Amino acid sequence: MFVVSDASTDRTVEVARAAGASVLPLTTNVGKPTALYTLITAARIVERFDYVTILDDDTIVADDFVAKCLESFRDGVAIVTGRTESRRPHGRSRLNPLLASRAFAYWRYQVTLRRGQSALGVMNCISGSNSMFRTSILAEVILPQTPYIVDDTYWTMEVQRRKLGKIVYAPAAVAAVCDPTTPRDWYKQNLRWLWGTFQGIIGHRVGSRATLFDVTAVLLMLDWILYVFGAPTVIALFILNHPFTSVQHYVLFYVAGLGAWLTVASLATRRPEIVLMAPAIAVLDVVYRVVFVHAAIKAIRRPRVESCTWSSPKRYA
Amino acid sequence: MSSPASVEAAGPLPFTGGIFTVPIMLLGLLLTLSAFLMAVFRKVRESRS
Repeated sequence: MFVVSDASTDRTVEVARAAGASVLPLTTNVGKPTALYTLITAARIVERFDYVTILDDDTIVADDFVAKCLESFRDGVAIVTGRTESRRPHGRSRLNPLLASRAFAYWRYQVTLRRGQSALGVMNCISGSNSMFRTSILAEVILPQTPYIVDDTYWTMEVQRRKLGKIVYAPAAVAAVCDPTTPRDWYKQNLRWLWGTFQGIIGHRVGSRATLFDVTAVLLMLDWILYVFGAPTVIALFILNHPFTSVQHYVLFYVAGLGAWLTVASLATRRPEIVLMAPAIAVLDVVYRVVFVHAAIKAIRRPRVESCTWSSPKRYA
Repeated sequence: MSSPASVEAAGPLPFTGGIFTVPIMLLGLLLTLSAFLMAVFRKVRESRS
């Protein structure tokens, strides 16, 4: 176990050392990609190991996480990404709509899109908090400083573009992460993730080649456009008295769809708060469209970054 | 932690996303369901033996 402390101001170094980890303490906050690069180089991870799991400090993996990831490392596999779950909060935090929304979002995304993308070999993102890499491939993509605000977006795009290997999803490898608990942290984190995603699309010219990866990525982008502009378009058509538009039907369809998803998610994750928080989740779904537009503008204005430092959301026990 | 950008946008059909990626989502859902059923069958078989 190797730990890099990116100029932590808490007891990270002391606690990690006491737990038996080899710790590299950095005195300057350099950002996650540079900190990882420094550790991987200093500890000679690539030369000494065939595989490496990269975890964030807010991640708790299941006891068999590594074993389950390794099972998925068949020939030609470059990266295995585990199943992300939102860590279960205690007490009143259980009714935090941001956490319920995120628990739902992880579940929904992973049982549908991520699993399908994995089967087709067209995954466009991995979980930076809980993924395992073949070190020989990581050596090909890791840089002292990634040009995108989300480092794993850069690695994913490089692996897909340069056909370095398959990226697969291992649902049996479970990891729990801390998600934002305040609206400000939630907005900032989503903005950063989406900004990084759009930077990846621009920087790696996703959609410009005739590959299955590009085709499926373009389909996903079309869905995003539909997601962001679908509801406002229906409302605008209704205001303009378009004969084929019925807001009542739209609302009914939306409520029924969301209700069905939330109910199944509650049962599958055994989190009743997901269905209890339905109205709040619907509101967050609207705000998320704003984040989408904000991130797209940000990516157009700043398609590359010189530094990947950011402040993490507040952690909870 | 960094995670999929499409996390929140893989929404209920059709107006919150999911028309163009329906085949991929259905494939994923099918695989998830088959894995779930396999796990259930395995448990049932284990409990009988």
